[in-house]
Amino acid sequence: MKAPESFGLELAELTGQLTQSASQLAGMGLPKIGTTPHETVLAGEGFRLLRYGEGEKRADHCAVLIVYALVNRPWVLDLEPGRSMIEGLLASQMDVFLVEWQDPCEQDQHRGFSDYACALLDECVEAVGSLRNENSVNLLGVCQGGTFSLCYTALHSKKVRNLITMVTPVDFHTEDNTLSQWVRKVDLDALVGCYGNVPGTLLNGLFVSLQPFRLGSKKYIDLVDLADNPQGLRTFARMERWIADSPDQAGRAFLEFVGDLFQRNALVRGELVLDGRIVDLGAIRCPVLNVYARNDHLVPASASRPLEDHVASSDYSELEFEGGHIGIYVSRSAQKKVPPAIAGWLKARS
Amino acid sequence: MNKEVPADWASALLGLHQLLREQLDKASPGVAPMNMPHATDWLQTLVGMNPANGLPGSLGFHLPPAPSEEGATWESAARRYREAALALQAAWLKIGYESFDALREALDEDHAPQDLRDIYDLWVSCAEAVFARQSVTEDYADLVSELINSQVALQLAAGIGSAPAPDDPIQLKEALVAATAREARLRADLEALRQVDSASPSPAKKRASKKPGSGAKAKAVKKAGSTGASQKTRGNAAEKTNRKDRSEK
Repeated sequence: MKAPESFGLELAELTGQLTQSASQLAGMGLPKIGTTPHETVLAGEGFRLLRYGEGEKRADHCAVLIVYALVNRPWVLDLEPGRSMIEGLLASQMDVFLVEWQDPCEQDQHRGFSDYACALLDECVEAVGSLRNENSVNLLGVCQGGTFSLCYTALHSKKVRNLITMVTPVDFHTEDNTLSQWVRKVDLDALVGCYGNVPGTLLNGLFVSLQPFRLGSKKYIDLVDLADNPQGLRTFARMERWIADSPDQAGRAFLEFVGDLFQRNALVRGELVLDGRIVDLGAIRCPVLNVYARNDHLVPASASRPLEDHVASSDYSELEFEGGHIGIYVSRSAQKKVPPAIAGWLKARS
Repeated sequence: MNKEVPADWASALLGLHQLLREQLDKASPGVAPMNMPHATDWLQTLVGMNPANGLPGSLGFHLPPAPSEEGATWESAARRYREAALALQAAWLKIGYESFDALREALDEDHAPQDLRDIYDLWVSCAEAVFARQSVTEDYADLVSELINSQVALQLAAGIGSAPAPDDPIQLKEALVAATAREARLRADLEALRQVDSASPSPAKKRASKKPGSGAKAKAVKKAGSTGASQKTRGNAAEKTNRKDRSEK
């Protein structure tokens, strides 16, 4: 090992680079995210339905309705040009729709899991069908939105032509699911009773503490590599903006989702009841593509892959991405692999 | 554990971290709502392992002040939170020590890194591996959930938010009396059905077909009662929640 006194010189150099990166970041201002052109085609109570791209031709393209999670903003799917799953789907000649959940206000704390996964999602499905003059849609559910999509498809099988789940938890009690372990004994009644709507910052703190060294430290130290790299710094700033901007969660929906799934694992046990009906994954018979990330620390592959054992579809496929939960949205390798694969799979079945 | 750790590079890393934390604090002065481990805390632990500096007493955890005359509820909640925080700190210290042991072994290998930055990366790698092993255990999960539960209890004791309303004992008693009476009626019906069944099977079948209807009604009444209580609780909590305006787009 080097003599300890040489560390002083290296530390001074690293400090200089870090200070340089930090001042360059500060001078950039707040970077824009989610910039791919889109329009709001439906503004409902609790959501907006967005349609991407322009022109008449998109109606001839194969359509897909993306259902994102409640726990973060969907803009990670459209972080910046060149790092955008939505851009990739458009480039693959898809007509892309996205459900953007709105922040809950005080009155929305009674909005439940079934309101999101059944009623509101149904409004979006109906709207896409109406705009496209089609009886059924292609659903692409991401993370928690994937669980919503599974529930919706199980309950409204005729309205979903093809289903894609992406980094979606299905079996919440697999051994390597750290987040599930952590929340298993949380007193949800007290938590929701205390906060009403659960603060997004609380969840954010929990997510970061799943990898405290990497997410709380290393990624910032790695800023020294981005000194004099404006594009890299802008990407970094966009990611930071997305990570820090966590919406609050409607209290009842949070209580039901975490209680029924993280704590009781009701979906794979066939015990989940939404809208007064049991959610039976065995009722899903449409083609299913299950996309998961091998190194996902939030939704381990072991939580996603059991889907195969529960759906009745005779056309079930998997796509494994060699990366993590965020990399599957924004990494360069994901841009090349995931959107074209999804588009190709859908077009082959439309 | 070998405490003869050369702490020079650790002190250097700590210096870098503290600079980083200052920069981040300037950029985002918000206070995290929950205390969870931070990499700087582990680095401070490492520096503390140097015999010259002595072992650290804690990992930078901001505990609430010792309870005084705020009342028994607050005192109990604060004590519970302190115990939960200290128990989690102990787990962090264990993770910290194990990660430094792993780092020390890695640094003893032939092609060990020489530069500060590479040593830092190796430390992160070792620490994440140890953390991943520990954090998924039931024991660690219990510590995290207890920290969350005790923090919520502390906030409720401090008047932040609303406690879930306890079930009304009078209503519970009335419901129990009604349920007992209903059970007695159903048992009597069942007994009557059995007697009729033994005499003449077909009328019994006819009566039996009516049973699910009455059972379903009883279940529906129970469900409606439970929902009402739950909504009342959350309605109180609503007063404490501020709307977060959307800034996106």
